[in-house]
Amino acid sequence: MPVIEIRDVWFSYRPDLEPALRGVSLTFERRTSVAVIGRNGGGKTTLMKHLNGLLRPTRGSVLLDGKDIAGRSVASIAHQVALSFQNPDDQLFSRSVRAEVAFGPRNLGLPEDRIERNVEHALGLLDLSDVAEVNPADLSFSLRKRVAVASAVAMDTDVLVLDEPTTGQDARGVELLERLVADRLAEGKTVITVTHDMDFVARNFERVIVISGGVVRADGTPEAVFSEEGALREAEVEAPLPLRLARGLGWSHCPLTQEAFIQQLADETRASGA
Amino acid sequence: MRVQELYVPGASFGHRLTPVTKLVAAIAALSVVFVYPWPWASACVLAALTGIAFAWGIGRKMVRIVFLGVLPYVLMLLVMQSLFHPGAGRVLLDLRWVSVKADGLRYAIETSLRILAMVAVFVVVQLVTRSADAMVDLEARGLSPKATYLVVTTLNILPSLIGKADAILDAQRSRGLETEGRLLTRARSLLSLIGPLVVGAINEVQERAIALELRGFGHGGRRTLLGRPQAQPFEGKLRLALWVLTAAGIVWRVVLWLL
Amino acid sequence: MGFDGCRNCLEGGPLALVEVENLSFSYGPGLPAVVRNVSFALETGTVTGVVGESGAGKTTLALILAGIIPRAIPGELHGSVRLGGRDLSQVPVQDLARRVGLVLQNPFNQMTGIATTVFDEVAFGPQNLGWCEEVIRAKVDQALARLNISHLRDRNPLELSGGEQQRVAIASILVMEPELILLDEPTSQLDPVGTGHIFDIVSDLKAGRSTLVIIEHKVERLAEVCDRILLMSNGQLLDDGIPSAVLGRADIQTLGVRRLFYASVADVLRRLGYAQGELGTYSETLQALKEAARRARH
Repeated sequence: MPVIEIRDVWFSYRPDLEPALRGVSLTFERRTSVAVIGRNGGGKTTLMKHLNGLLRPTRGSVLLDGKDIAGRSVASIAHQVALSFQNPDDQLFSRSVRAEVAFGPRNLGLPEDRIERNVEHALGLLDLSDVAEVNPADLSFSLRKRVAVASAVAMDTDVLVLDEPTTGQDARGVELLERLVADRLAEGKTVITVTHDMDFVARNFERVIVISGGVVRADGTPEAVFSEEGALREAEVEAPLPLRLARGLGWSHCPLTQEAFIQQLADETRASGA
Repeated sequence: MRVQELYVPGASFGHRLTPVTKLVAAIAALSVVFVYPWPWASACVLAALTGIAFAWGIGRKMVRIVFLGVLPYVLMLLVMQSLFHPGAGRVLLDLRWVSVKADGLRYAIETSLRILAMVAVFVVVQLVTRSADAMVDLEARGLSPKATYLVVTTLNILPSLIGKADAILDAQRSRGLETEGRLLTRARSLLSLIGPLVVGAINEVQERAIALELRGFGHGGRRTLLGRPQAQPFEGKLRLALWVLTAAGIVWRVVLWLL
Repeated sequence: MGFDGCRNCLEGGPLALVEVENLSFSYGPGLPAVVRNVSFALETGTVTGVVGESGAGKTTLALILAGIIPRAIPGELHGSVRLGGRDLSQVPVQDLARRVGLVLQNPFNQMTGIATTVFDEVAFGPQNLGWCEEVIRAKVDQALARLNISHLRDRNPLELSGGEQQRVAIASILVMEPELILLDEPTSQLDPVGTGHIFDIVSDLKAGRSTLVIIEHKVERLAEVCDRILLMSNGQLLDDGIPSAVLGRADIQTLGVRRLFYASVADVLRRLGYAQGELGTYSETLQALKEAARRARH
């Protein structure tokens, strides 16, 4: 059974406005990594907010573990779906990073020893152990963002939704996020990320969903989706750089990541030289 | 989506008045509420404002904000005041002391009506005035840019905070914060909502102050004004009449006090 | 162009030459220096990228170059910053906005909060500079067109998306035509197409001889448009050179910056026996790869 199912969801912020989501149907399985891409204003964040009940469909339904979430409070859904937002400053308020990261699990009513374990694990994953006792307000933006993500991770939910975790992040921050995705998958969780970083997508996600105009334009593996030029153009999204370069060279097999490109370049050049 | 101000577009008489005239009217109304030595002044002002609001097409919104939004708090205040007003102590003992109770209660009602009337004045003015227009008008009359900015943003603070509070609420609910249910649960959730709000508001102010600096604001020199609202011919006389109304109240009060 | 009788509207072209010498700054006595002994010089009409890990001091450097530090943000500032030969601390505060423009990271906090339309928002700066009305109207419309936001002219700036706000913020600074333009992560909120727009604008400005400094993490984009890259780490200036060299450093990943993909491609070509120079742009790389493929076939 899929962990989340979205059935023909329509959503308008106000009755007189154009629908932000138009008949979207998607299922999400366990132990998968999904990247949601598309131009700003196309419906990505609106869709994410439906996953944990912050927004309710105008029409259609959202099912969690096969059961409709209508009637359940956001706080109760948070036991299964943790959502981390773009702006860390909308949520940070504790005196220390540790307290901040513990906030989520504590709200869920987890036993103390489990809270401690989850917090330590999350701090380690996001490399925040050195600043665990520092006040988040005193940290740089990139670090504050990591604290916000850690706070969602510590909830150890079946589904982790990250809304633009890479914006404003330096290289180290992106590295840590990659490690995080791998860790969550290893634990059997589902990770759904909204992002603009195509290299990040190509390296870490097995499934890519392209959304624009409130509609799913493409849905499949990165290889498949990044070949759908029409959908990409519609959603104002570009394929990752290595892929574009490979296409420019007329390669038959197109590598998605920088590493794959380098490897293939070495192989192909040696091959043609032979 | 964040809400900046209470302004509701329209073309009523109120909309067409220049901001300064509306401010003068507000001052006159407030003087009637606070200075005029007439017990039911506030109630009349409140009733008049409600009528005016409907005439200007902003009635529903005004009623919603003033009566549904602010009234509950004012009622709480009313209850507390009538309980703690000196002499009200005797109320609890015996219903025979009705006159004493009436005094305390009457005082509480008067104060509550004053507060409601005052809020209504601000709300009505904001509903028909664009803050940008207000700024231009005030500046054109000589108020310094910094002072006008302060006035206008103070008026706008509440809607902006409400907008921010929504985003914070979303974020904290997503972290399992229970916001429905028992009052005690809701009280406990307050810190996680107020914390980011206050810090965020302070940061916003600081960053915005820098942004204003970077746009050359507040360093004297002539500031070009675009699109100054045009005053209608009768407005000068209207304002004079309003000032007279205000002054009359003050004089009346002073005379009574001297006698 | 005839805007006679308007002495407040300066018409001269940009003439900035930025010289920074031994610049150090800390927020207070006893606090660690956030910028440590930084020295560099920028030529007029160049685009310089600034990269480094979060907390390396990049934004602080931008605030100093814009004169915000130490005027609006106090602290201990040592060393000197000269703009067009003149010490920045000697520039009267009223002239500062006309000479240096800075667009910060969070677009929402750069909206004035009192403008109800994007037009008014962008006009705010020129109004403060005392320009005359016709000039303001013309320049604002120009700035809006340049940032592709003319269609947002009558919208409320506080109701726009982050990406739209960022473009409004940039327009609000560009409209004042400063000699030195500093952009702090201008594309952080933007999707790839929006990012492309901003970098196109940067190219335009470069063609118009403006001097630009861009703080960014997107190294390939920077390499396309920058003449020079400053690499900061822990408050210090570690490197200063052409994009392919600085962004191609072997150790750059440890300094919090992604390594330029084109540099990795150049590495491979060299390993395969081709005498390959530095590669800094998409077209150079494509060219080099096609060349290598051609040679490999013979």
